[in-house]
Amino acid sequence: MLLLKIGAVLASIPVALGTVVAATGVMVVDVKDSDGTRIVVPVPLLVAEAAAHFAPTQGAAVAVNRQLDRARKYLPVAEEVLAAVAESPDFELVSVDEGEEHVRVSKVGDALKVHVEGPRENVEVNVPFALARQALRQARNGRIEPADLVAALRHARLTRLAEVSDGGDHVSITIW
Amino acid sequence: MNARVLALAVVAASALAGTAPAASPSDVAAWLHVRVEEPRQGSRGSRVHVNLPMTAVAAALQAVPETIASDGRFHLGCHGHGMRVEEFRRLWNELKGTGDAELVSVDGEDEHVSVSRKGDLLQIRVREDGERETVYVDVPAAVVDALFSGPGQELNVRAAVAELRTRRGDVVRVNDRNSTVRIWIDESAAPQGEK
Repeated sequence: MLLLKIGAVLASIPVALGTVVAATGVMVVDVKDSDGTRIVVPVPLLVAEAAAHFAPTQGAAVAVNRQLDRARKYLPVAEEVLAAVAESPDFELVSVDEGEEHVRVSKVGDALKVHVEGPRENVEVNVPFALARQALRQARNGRIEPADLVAALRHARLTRLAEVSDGGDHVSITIW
Repeated sequence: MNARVLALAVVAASALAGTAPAASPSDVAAWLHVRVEEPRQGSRGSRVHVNLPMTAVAAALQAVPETIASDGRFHLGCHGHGMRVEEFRRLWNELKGTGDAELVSVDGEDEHVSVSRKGDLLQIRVREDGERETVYVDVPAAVVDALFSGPGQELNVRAAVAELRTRRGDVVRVNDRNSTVRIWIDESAAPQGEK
């Protein structure tokens, strides 16, 4: 009977961990090489957030915040523009065609979708409004904390953050 | 594209826009469209299309007054020349009473510029024969009125945008040998109003 209880407790640990990870989100990095190699790295957002807390980002943060000083007065405006775009129905914001290069920026659901298509590579980036809002809010309040931005990704579940195709290589980052 | 013509278009577009408070339901239907096309740049012709809800435009243009009228002056040109907002206001109020009329007409060797009042529009037209360049800017008089409704050196851009939101149709058109620029307002997010 005791062994059964111990077994049940032990079995519940991975289940509980799995539940926590599923509830808080997973970032999946999928890399496919032209030679057929495929690497899939699932990173629980909780782990990424913790790592961002400890990552030595101070130098980068100082550089970013120095740049922000110049733009700080426009940040409230940027927040208002973002809010207005987010509240609008889906639409194509910007479209640029130049020769074989094409850029599209669209509002799709809760994200801003940026698609760049060139003769050799295609890049698609989806910026969740929640993430952009968080970044702008932090910037306005003084500094951007990478860990908080990672935390904001929890509001972007089932979103393909980035997808890059270059020749036969393909990289995608998805939040599940 | 002729920098002067482009600058004129930008200034006109800027003058037609400004800051605004939170969106009202009627704003949702209004969209600003910008089309810049340069079809004759060799094989790399370019096309830029921008579509924006007027609520976003109004929010974005909160920064504009600082640019076009800092220290109470319109800064037109690149040699520090300017005209005080009060002077512009007085000029506008005098011109308003004239009714439909050609206010300014300049005939150069290969260029004709006219500024006229027609109905409720202030029409600016530039035609350049040599480069077959044309600029059409239509500014609703009500927008200008609203812009100058502030006191002293202030521009009431908030009121100007409120007027602008009720307008539908072309605001700026520039055609020259190599490019076309069109700015208009309609009620569609998709570029259905393209002509």
